[in-house]
Amino acid sequence: MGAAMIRVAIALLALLAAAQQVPSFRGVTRRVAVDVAVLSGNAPVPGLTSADFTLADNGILQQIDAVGLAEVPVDVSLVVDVSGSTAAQLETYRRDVSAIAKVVRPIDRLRVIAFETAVREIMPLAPSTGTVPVERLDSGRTSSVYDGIAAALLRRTESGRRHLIVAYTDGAENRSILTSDQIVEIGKSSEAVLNLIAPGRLPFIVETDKPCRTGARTEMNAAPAPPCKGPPALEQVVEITGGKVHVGAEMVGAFKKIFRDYLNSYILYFQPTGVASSGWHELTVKITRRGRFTVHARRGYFAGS
Amino acid sequence: MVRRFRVVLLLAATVFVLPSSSRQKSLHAAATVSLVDALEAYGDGRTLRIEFKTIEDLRYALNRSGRAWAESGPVDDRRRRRNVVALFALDAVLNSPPQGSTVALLEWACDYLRAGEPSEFERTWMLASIAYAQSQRREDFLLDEACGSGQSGSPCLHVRHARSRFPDDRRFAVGNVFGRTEVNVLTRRPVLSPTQLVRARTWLSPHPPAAPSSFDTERIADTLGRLQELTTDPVVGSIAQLRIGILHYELRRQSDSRRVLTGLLEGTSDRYLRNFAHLIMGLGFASEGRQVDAEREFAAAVVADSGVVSTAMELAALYFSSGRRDQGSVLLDRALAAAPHDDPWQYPCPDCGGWTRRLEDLHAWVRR
Repeated sequence: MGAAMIRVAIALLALLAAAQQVPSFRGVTRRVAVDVAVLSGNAPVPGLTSADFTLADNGILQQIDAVGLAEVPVDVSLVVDVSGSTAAQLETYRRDVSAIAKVVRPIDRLRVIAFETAVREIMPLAPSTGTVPVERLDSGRTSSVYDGIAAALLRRTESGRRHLIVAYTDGAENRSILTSDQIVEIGKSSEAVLNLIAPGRLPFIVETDKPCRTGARTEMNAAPAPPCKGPPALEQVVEITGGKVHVGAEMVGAFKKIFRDYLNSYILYFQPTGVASSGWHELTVKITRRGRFTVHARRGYFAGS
Repeated sequence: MVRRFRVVLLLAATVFVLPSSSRQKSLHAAATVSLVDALEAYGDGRTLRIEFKTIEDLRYALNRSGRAWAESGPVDDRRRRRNVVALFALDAVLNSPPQGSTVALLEWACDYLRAGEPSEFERTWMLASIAYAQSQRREDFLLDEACGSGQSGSPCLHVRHARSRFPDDRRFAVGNVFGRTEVNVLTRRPVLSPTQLVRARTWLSPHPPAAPSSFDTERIADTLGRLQELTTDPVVGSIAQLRIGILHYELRRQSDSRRVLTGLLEGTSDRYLRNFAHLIMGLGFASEGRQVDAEREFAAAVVADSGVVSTAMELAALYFSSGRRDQGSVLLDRALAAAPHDDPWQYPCPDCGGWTRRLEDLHAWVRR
């Protein structure tokens, strides 16, 4: 009898221990929204529904609701690099920014940030009226690319709205207080989609604090960094947020395409289930339809804290 | 943007200088303006764009047309006009890519200013030009010992010129310490050896020297000693203390840096210095991976001055990475909505505190 009781007790203890070892997947309470652009060739694919997507959160398929983005109000942050030799193109930039303000819809809001050595908000987030105080755009000497882009990424996305960031820069960073590591981490935490318009060819997008890139130079404030691995930080951030780098493009034309494609994209909403309640969540979005599609979606999100 | 080797000067007062109403007036500048038109515009608080291929071309034009314009004015307006010419040269330097000839232009303007009686305009102009040279780590322009027995008029005599004009001003008297390169280094990742600090000039090499030389180690020790002697000075003592803290930070002596900066914070209520000291302590903690301590210091920096974008950015980044997006967003909203502040990250030189105000004063003084 005593031995039987001991065996039962041991069995119960073993069960308890086993139960404690099972990973605890508390649901992530926050509803997650993921902006997804689907392209066929270079054209957005319209008319997709929830049934056309699969979304895996850390490898676990999720129940999703797909909504077309065209009906959703968008907060647009336009970030303009006015450093260095841009002084000669300043009037062009002012015209371009004015033109872009007219592209944004009345239901949207627009914010304009300019950076050189300093980062300045030329126009705080406000309902689009088609005008921007472009006279406040002025050029400076050095270039705080990371800080300028972070000034847009580090803004919360209001419920019921989406946040699109379009940055016009060659990416030649030499003055930011934020490091390349920090800008990548900020990209992971941000809910915005970042698109980059680079006036020059891709090699101009260099990390000046990473000596392995040709032509990179390090200004005093940037400080030496460990040898670089992988793509430059800006490209990483763009990819993490689900955006694209548009190379060799002029500002207005590229913005129009980015904005049109964005409005033709989708939001996938899901309540994470079966996954850890905190930490980095890797996302994988696929199209179930037959055909050749390119999907741009953020690579993941941070849950909890 | 893409850096070009052709030098194009677009002369406009820096955005930190003029109130927005003044900047708005510059919008409709004529496409081609003469140097005299551009100089005249300063009197109305306006800036006009004018292009020169090189700094030397501008110096030549100022020496010929600028001087002639100043000296041909009404007798009671000549002094203001001379000041306009000197300020024009300073604005040009501030808006040009760093290059050797910028200091030659400054020294030309310095000579021109010194032809008259010393004035508050000249004192402020000297402070601003020296702060610029410090930020560019141009010790060849600032230190007596770099001159040797240089001839009068040599650019390396700039601080000496300022001292001769304002012999009682402590800010010029300390020029031989505050002008040293190692006193003007501030990096995001403090991995610098004495050699990197002493040899750093405008650009840091991505391939730093492997081992510090004994000469450079002794030089750093000497600089720390000289700064220490200045810490009791009623005018520059706090700045000397701050620079000691920054030097320790760069040399990865974070405990020493914190000890010095804590002492500074106990004795000053100056918001620029407080913001700067907390920023350095925060960066020091961050370099050691102590994020909680770093956050506390960045938060204290923001309390000292919520309008400094760089410190708000650091704190907002920490908030964001720990899921506190709303807090981070509000911080940035507030910092970016504030009027331009002296940002110690962007203007880290010893005499850069008060930079914005100095440039505003200079522009106000030359208005009619």
